[in-house]
Amino acid sequence: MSDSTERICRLIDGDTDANEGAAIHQERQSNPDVEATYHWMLFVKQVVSTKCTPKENDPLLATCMERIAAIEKSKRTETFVTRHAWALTGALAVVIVGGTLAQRSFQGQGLGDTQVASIVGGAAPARNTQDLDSIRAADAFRQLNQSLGSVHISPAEELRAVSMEKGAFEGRAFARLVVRDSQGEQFYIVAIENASGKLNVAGKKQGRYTIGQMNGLNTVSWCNGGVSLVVAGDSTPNRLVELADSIRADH
Amino acid sequence: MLFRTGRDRLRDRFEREFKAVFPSLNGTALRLTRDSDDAADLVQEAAVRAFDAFERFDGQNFKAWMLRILTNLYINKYRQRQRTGNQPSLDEETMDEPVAALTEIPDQQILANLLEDEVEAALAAVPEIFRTAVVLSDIEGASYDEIAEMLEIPVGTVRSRIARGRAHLRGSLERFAIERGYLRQD
Repeated sequence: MSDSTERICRLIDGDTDANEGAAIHQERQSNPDVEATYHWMLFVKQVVSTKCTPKENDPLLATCMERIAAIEKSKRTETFVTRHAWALTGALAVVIVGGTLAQRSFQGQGLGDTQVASIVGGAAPARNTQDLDSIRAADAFRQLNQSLGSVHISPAEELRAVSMEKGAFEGRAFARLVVRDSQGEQFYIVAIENASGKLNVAGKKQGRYTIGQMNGLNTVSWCNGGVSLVVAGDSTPNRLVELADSIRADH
Repeated sequence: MLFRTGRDRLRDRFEREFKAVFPSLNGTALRLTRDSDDAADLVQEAAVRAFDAFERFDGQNFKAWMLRILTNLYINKYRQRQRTGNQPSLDEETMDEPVAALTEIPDQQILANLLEDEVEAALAAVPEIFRTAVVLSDIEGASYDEIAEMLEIPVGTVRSRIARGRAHLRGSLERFAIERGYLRQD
């Protein structure tokens, strides 16, 4: 490409000073090639600017707007969370603490389902675990009675003690005795300190007992003085009631 | 919405400005990529990037700012992708270009008879680096300085690219005029 083409293009685009422009116009008069190039460059610019028009595309425009709206939405959320992080954390803490307090308040000093299930299922931490293989059930029940204080439960002749755990869970002393009957079936006898005498466990009322389920085991629960007792096992509710009847000292 | 925040107003302003320049952006994207899908992707991505950076926009010339984002994006991303195909690399110094042999001057009849598609096809045949400069100059009306800024190249390179691009177009249009009998071949 000749240098004159570039100079002519600059002249057409208004990128030359007066002297340069005058020189090019002079060349046009003396050189037919320069004259033709000048007209062709003008023509090309005119053709492109008039024939190549902007392109509408409504669906694409709509897609762009949707993407911007989506970005804006996510930006807003991000900004809100960033700006109010402390407030949100605080609110969450209030909800957790408030919820806990409300739960306790609702239950009063009573014993709730969750607490009982944790103790029955062995999830509550025990301070003292004893293997009772060599001890008769009567000794185990004596120990249990000693640890419970006010309540007294009687050993059923047919029961053999396997182990006993003692501990405290959420401020309540508990004892968890594992026993087997003459058929080798295993049961849990759990005694939990409960000064309120309120036992808030889900289940069907049957006399003094509440018959329900915890951790996949059938349960029979009742209160006796300042202690709540639960007999749990993979047996029928009737068998558990029978067992509960047999160990209740106040029966 | 009852209460409009600063961000609402910012988005409204962006949408208003974007809608006004959208046909230009779309046309430029189509002419750069020569592929409608690539052009759609390019425009969308440019819109997203521009909106992200809109708070930093100086408020002077939205169209030039948008075209700069779009062309930069094209140069950095789409051109690279297209080059991985069968497209040869373009070397500005060694590029072949048609040399006009005619001294005959074109007249308005040729202009009137040229169809839009024919001009678009002639433009599409111009090598990419020259085509980009011609599109920005002759279709979008950008000045040499603006093009230099958009493409991040010296003004001297812009002058050279525009002249070469137009020389290519001259060659194509001369052939067209000769084929149609508007011009005689020497």
